[in-house]
Amino acid sequence: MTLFSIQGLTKRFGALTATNNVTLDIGREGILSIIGPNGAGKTTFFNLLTGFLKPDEGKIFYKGQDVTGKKPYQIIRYGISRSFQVVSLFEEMTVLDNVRVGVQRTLGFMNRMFLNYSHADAVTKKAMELLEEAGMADMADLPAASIPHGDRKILDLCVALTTNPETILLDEPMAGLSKAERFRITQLIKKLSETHKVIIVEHDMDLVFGISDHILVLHHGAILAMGSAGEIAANEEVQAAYLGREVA
Amino acid sequence: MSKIYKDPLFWIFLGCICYPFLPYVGNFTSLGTELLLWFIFTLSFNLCLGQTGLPSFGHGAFYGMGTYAAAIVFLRLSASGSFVLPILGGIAVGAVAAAFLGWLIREKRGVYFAMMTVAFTQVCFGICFRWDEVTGGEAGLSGISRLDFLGIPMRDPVTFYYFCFAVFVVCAIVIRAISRSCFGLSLQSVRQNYIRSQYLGYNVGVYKFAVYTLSGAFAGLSGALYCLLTQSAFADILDWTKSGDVVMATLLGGGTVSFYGPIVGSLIFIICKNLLSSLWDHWLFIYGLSFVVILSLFPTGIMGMFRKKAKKKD
Amino acid sequence: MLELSLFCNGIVLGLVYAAVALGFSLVLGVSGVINFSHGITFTFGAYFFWAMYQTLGWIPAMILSPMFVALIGFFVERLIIRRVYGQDPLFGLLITLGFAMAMEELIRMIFGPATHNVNAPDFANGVIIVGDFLYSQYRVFIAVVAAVMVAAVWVFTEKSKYGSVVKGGMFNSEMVGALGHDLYRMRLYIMVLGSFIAGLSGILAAPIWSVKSGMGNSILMPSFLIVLMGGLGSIPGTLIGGLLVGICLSMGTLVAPRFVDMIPYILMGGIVYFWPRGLMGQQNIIE
Repeated sequence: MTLFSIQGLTKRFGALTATNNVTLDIGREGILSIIGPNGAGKTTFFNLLTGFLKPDEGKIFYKGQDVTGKKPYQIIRYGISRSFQVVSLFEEMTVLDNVRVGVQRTLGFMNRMFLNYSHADAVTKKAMELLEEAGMADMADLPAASIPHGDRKILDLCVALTTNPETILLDEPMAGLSKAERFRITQLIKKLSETHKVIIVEHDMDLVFGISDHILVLHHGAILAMGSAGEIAANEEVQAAYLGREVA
Repeated sequence: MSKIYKDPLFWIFLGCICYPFLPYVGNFTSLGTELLLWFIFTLSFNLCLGQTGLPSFGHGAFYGMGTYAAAIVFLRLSASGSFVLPILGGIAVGAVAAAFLGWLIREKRGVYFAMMTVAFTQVCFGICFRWDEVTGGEAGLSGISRLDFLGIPMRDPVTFYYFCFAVFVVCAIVIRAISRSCFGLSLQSVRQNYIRSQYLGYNVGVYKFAVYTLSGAFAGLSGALYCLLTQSAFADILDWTKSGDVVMATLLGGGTVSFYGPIVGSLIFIICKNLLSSLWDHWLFIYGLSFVVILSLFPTGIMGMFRKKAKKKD
Repeated sequence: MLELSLFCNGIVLGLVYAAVALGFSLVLGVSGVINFSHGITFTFGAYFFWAMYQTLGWIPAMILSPMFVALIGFFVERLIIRRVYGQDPLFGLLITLGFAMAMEELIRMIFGPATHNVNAPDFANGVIIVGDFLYSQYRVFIAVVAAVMVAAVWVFTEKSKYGSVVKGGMFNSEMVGALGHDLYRMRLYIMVLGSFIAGLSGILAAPIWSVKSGMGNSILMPSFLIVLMGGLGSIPGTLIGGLLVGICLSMGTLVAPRFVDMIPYILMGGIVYFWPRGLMGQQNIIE
């Protein structure tokens, strides 16, 4: 079963072709990692999938529905959600309110639009559940700007989950984390992948080869290879373009 | 309900009730009424600036259009002698104008948003200042009188003051309820991180449009009451410098961090404008300089200075 | 003939607008501050000039007065604008607006509320006759000086090494800082330069508009609108915007004399609605 079906996707910035005629099917199961040397067009590809950028050519189908060029708030409604490489939170709100913002929209708030938000019990309950699952319930009342970086990354993930997605795209979930924090996030991602389709853009090779079911290698905006972790590790082209240089 | 004493609004309301009985200033009833109207206007303005982060630097447009709408409704349609009809006219025109502008510029941000609103208010100013046939042009509109409302004579300034006070109470409670509601939380999310809001499924443009319309309705209401207060309408309230006063007062008071900031700010501005000016002609020099000094030391304004203290109390 | 002389008036006015807007645009581009005290430097230029020109004569006063204004620009940057670097541009706008309010009042305090008239200099106090077309010499003089200012700034940013940094700063102050140039000092120089241009423009406008404390407001908004219209960082865009506004304002009196004041706002609104970055703008720091 395919989840994403991508046909001839192309995006140019002036003379630079950041994504070059990518055609690809992504299945519904497991964790897919997107890797590639710097400037390979990973982030552009990611932004195209999540509606942050509009493609110049090509189509994106999600579960058979055309989502090409849809705006972020529309993409969300198909069941796609994303986290951010640079943590993107509502800095002046508490941790709990950060989650509430998403939850209240997902639960539908026409009927409680003008209710005091701290009295919206259904929202609070769902938000606390999410925080508990992530192990952050004890931080609920702290300002989001004041908690440690690792927790902020997890909060970013929690906020992404508030939209009830089936597919979640993570943009460099490991960026700037310590070893202990990396372990915590890895466990969370594994847990998440039991219930969600997870697509990751990541530089951290330990994570990529440790947990991915599939790996997609991009190079100069085009697909270089796709396969299981073992296949990619053994692929000479990939080594030449990417791994070899990285080791050296 | 001993909790009510902890509510700042309670003390603000109490202060407003006592105002006409205060020594010296109490005699200036129209000053007090103007203050109440400024409270309503700046609170509604802060729904845009402080809550949603919309730099609506031409917000005076909706206030001024409310004033003109009330005057025109009174002079042309109010043959029935209704007191409420001009006010409703002001609200409607304020809301419609804000909805129109809000829809046009719902995707604009920052400086561009601000300047589009300034352009709008200047165009309104031009229309009111020059379209002699309808708006009276430079001479403005006059001859509006306050009729009886439910048998109560509004001609008396003190009665009208308490009528405006009642309107202010309703508006303040409603606006605070909005800013603390789920809708208000969504608006805050738009201000703090509009990209993330979009990725939570919010159609940010529509929210900006909605809050802008709402705010325009309140601004139109206060403008209509201002028309009844001065019993006239002049185009100078539509000039962009007047809108600038509102933004500065709100920011000075601390509207970006506190719901009560606009009230503090308009209190300071109106007192300076009306009392300080009677002592020294060049009061604007002091006001302008204090604005610069306070804001460069405390970018979040006067309420921002007290914010840390208040947080510890909670 | 009326049309032709109105058209010429429009060009003259447009060149003055463009010069002031260029100063505005330079400060905004390099410092990221929307400097609303720019209008008051214009007013200061005119007042200083008015105070000096009868004793010193036209040309010496015209040279000295902008220097005093530039000095004011120096202190404004040191004392106020420096504090808002890196903050929301709109915050800088409000701070400088507050400062401009105070300064306008200061002018009223020092020079009184009356409006003063300035005579055109003797050397340009006549008319130029081309066939049966008469045109004021003084307006030609304004056009020449304003055009020289615009051209000087243009050449400066296009040709000199220092100017290329200024142009770079218009798009990315961080980048310029990383290049190792002394951004801090450069922002000061640009502010001084911008004030000088505004002060000189104030002098040029003095005989036509007469000297009054509120004259800064009548140039501040149009020049900011022109910056937005032309696109931030684009000197040709600013020039086109300035001429467009000047000509439309002047010719507009033929079509709709009552509503002519609205023209710059409608132009800006229309242009920014369809070209969000202005006519010739690129990605910039106020987005």
